[in-house]
Amino acid sequence: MDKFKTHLHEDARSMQFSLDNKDNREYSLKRKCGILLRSFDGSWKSQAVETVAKDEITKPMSYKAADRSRPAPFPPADAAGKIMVENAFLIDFLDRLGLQEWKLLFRAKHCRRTIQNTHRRELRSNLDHYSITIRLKIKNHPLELEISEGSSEALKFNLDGLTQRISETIENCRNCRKIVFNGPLPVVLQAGEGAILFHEILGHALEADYVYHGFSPFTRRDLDHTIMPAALTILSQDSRDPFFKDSPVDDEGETCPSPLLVENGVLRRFIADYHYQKMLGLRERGHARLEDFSHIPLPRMFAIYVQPGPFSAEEIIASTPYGIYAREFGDGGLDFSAGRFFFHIRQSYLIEKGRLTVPVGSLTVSGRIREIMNDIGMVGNDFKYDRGVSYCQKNGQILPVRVGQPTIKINKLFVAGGQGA
Amino acid sequence: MLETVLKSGKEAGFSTVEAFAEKTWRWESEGSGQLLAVHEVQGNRLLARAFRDSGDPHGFSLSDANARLIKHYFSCLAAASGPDRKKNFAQLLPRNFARIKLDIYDPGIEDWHDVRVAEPLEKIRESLVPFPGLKLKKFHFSRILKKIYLANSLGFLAKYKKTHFQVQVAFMLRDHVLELSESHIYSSHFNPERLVARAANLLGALEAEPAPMTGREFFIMSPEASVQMLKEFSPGLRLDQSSGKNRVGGASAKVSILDNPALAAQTGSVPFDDEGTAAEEKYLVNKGVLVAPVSDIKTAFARQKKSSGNGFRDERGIFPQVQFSNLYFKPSASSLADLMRAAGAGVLVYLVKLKGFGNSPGEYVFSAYGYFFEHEEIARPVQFLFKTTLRSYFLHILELSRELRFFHNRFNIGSPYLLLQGRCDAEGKITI
Repeated sequence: MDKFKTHLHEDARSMQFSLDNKDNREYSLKRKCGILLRSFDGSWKSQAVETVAKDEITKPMSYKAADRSRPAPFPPADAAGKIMVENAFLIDFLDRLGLQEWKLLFRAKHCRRTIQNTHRRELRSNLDHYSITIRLKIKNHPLELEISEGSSEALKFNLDGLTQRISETIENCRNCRKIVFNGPLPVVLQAGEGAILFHEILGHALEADYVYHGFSPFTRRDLDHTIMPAALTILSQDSRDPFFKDSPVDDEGETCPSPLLVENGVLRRFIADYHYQKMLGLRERGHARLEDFSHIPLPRMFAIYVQPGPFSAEEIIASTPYGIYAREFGDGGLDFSAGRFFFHIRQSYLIEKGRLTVPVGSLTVSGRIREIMNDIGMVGNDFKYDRGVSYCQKNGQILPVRVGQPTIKINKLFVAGGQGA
Repeated sequence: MLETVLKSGKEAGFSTVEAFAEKTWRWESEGSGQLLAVHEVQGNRLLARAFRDSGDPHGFSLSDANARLIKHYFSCLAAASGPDRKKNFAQLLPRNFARIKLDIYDPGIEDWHDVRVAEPLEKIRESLVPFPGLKLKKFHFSRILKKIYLANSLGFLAKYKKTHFQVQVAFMLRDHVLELSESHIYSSHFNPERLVARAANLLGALEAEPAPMTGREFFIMSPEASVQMLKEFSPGLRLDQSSGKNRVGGASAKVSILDNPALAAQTGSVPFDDEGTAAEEKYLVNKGVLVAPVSDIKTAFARQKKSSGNGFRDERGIFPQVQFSNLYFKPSASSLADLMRAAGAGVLVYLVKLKGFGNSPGEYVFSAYGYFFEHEEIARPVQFLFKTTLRSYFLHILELSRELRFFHNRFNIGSPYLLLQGRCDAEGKITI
């Protein structure tokens, strides 16, 4: 491996404001700044220092002066007051629902990174993220419900859309049919968030560190071979998606020349950083990400986008005599040692005779990673991005990620739960 | 710097201010070959929590703060505070601290050289020799020195320092991979042979095929498996989370569960929590009866109770949250052999994994991996599924052993061996 050096400077500022039905309000601000120096000369050495001192920042690698343009002030003055005013409609709506408890959580984060490495000049990578989370508890219902939405533009959300989702969620909870599931069924994944399945079963399995260490069900020999049905093309980047528009490079200052992970079912590339690109002898890298400067980067996904196919959502549902329509998704996970995955579906509907009928509550779906690749059936033409609040945890590092897909039917997934579980 | 925070907070119009500073030095080494990757981190964060006479507190967290930044952020907080007459808990913050001597610092941490880092790796490699086929896939060693400073405007001022050594390894046996870790206050407490033996045992159990469980009623949870179960059910022991089906309503009379931040040389031990409440042993469950869940000042105040001293800030948070320090089942005088004799025959469970949720509210389904035993002899490996709820699990604990072991995963949890009684239905499915 050649010698390689990177220098990353980060200035991350965030604001959080929460409000609940008992008028508890918490407002907090955070600023985390520091530098990370990494070098490879036979082995990796890295050093991270939490500092705002300019001389510490500019010392190494002939670092050029920081960006001279002054960022907009953050947080804005009276941020909490503005949030209350702009979301008064939503707060009033929640009060009138007669819930046992509700809580609103607003978050805003600005992260500015400057990265320099051996091969490239100083590059900037910025990520702004805004989110709203609504947590509800309905009387006589054991579970806490959660609805979230995110944006890369501003702390402003589609309040009409949110109130509609809240109403539907509560209605579904109250009216869900008591059916117990414990076996394989076809599952239709709603466009947008449904791609969390591909994030779990494919994305993580393609991360080059897992491939190198033998944890992944895929190996280097799978490159340029068919791993899933030809209807599927999956990208790791999308220039039309505004989410990562200001993050042109990864946290080693590298880019991946092509976003194609899977092309018509054929595996084209792994998700690699500098280290694992060299260890596996791969063509490309550009997927080094870290939570903040105090961590070392790992091969991580930015995004998973499943490209649209030929069928309409209505055709897909109509083709299903009995199954599940998965609408809102919770956490997922992988057990590489067992070659299995699972994820939670927070809201789902029953499909009977090709039509959506009744809500059936929260479920867990699971299966074997390589087997499910062959069970992916119809791919819709209604591509959507997720709601902008997807996160991924790996080795203790939590990162924002993005998923997107059209409506997709999985012919067979093991479905468990129901009856309000 | 703490004085600067208290002073700036008062000048910004806050009547009570709390300042928390954390300096961290972390050294990590990773790899499985000859040359290890090395990562060194110096952390320096300052957190403040500010109260007016009424209303909720606001707060901030800064890296490497200076007086100018502190003043600026207090003015941002002051601008955000609207009129709010709600009573707050500012006056419940501790005012003084009776110094206690707690064994949580290994002076050897200042004396480490790079070459010493390879020692645990070499010892693990040596320990693999008696286990053909068992491979080391990943090795990660970290040593952390943390210095905590806490002050508030009611007069509290105290500090402590703490060390933490951790080894995280991944082993592979044929197609099975297992990640294990060990954490200690003292580096000399590492036992690489025990770590490798643990891995061989657990991976051996993972190779088991599912087997009919008819007639098997007694299960002995190893400390490792029991800790996993306690971790899943621990929200039922927290005041901020326990309600309804998630609350520990009661347990078998043999069961006592404690949280104790004053244990010597344990990774969850601290002389005071992140709000200044002094370390004290607490019974959460005493002989089957729920005594009190853990809490911080805010959660306790909301329910007109006293804080149990479990308010801790995690690395991402600004305000303290309820968290355990050292949570464990109180051991008894019995040995593992006594438990096996009492059961006669059953399964010694070494590993459990949460598989999902059952069909009833509050029901969990676990995969369990272990070994059949009969007449105190371990036989062949077995894997099976079982379902249980929090209440049922605690009620069916028949006996505990004396061999208490701790495992650190976000917080420190300990358990001895537990003997439980389940039932097996006609289809061979286990319910505890």
